[in-house]
Amino acid sequence: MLGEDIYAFRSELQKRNTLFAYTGFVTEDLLYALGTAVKQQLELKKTEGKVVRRVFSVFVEQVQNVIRYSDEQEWLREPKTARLSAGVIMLGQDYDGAETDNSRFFVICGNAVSNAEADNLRSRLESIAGMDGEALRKHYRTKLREEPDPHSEGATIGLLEIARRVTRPLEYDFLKLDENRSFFVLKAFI
Amino acid sequence: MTPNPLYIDATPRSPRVELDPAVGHLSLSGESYPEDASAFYGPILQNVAQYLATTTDAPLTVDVRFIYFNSSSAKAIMNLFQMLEVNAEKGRKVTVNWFYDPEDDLMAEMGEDFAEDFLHASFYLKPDSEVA
Repeated sequence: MLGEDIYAFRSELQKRNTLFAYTGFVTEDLLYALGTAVKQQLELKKTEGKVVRRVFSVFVEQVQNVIRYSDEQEWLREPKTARLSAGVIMLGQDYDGAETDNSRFFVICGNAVSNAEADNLRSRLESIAGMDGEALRKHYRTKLREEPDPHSEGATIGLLEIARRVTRPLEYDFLKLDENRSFFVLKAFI
Repeated sequence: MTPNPLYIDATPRSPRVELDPAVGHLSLSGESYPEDASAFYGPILQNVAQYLATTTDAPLTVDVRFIYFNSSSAKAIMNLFQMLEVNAEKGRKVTVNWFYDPEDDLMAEMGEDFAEDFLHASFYLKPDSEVA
C-alpha cells in the first residue's frame, strides 16, 4: 500500500515532466542546495553552458522571490536567524514527445501573497509582457540606477531578470485562497 | 585618517573582496547571490567611500571577476560603480576591469551595460578564460 501510494505520487510528478519538486518552507540555505542540484542535473544532461546559466539565473530569482514575498513566513532565531517562507518549487523539462534540441526547461514557483501584493505583481507582469528584449534590457538598466524602494527587496528587477532569460512569454496565475490572500504561480520556460 | 584595508573571504554564494588602500586596488571575484545583497555590499561601499574621502588624487583600479551575480547584487554593483564614476568626474583616475568567461554571453552583456554608465572612469571588458 505504502509503496503503491508513493510510487503513484512520484509517477504523477514524472507525468508533469518534473526533474525535482519541493514544497514546504524555503530558506536561503535550501536555495543554495537546490541551485547546486539544478546545475548538476543540467550538466548530467549535457546542457549547453549558455542554457545552464539562464536556467540557474531564473531559478535563483524565482526562489528568492518566494523567500522574500511569500505571505506564509516564519522566523527562526536560534541557532541562527533564518527566514522560512512556504512555497512550491519545480524544475522540469518539456520533452515534446522525445528529448530533442527543442525540449525546454521550466521553473515553476508558487506561494501565497496578500491581495494587495497580487494586484501589484499582476500589473508589473502585465507591463513586462508588453516589452520586447531591447525594452526589457533598457528597463532593467533604468531600474538598476534607481534608488531602492524601501519596501521592495528587489522584486521588480528580479522579475525583469527572469523575463530577459525566458524563451517563451512568462505564464502566471493567481488563485484566490480567501478574502485576503491569493496563491501566485509563475512559470518560466528557458 | 588612513583608509582601512578590507578583506572578505569568498563563500559559495558571495565573492572574495579585497581593498588595498596602499596601492589603490579593489578586487571582487566569484559568485554573488547572498541572502541580503545590501547587507553584504554595504561595508564594501563604506570602505571604498572612506578610501575616496581620505585620498584626494590617488588612483583606484578595480578588478571584477564574477562567475554569477543575481539582480540584487547587480543593484549593489551599480551603486559602487556610480560612486566611482562621480569620483572620476572630479578628476581621480579610476580604472575598472570587467573580466569574464569568454563563453558567458550574459556576463559580457552585463559588462557592456555597465560600461555605458562610465564617461570619466576607464572601463575595460576583458574576456578571460580563467574566470570560469
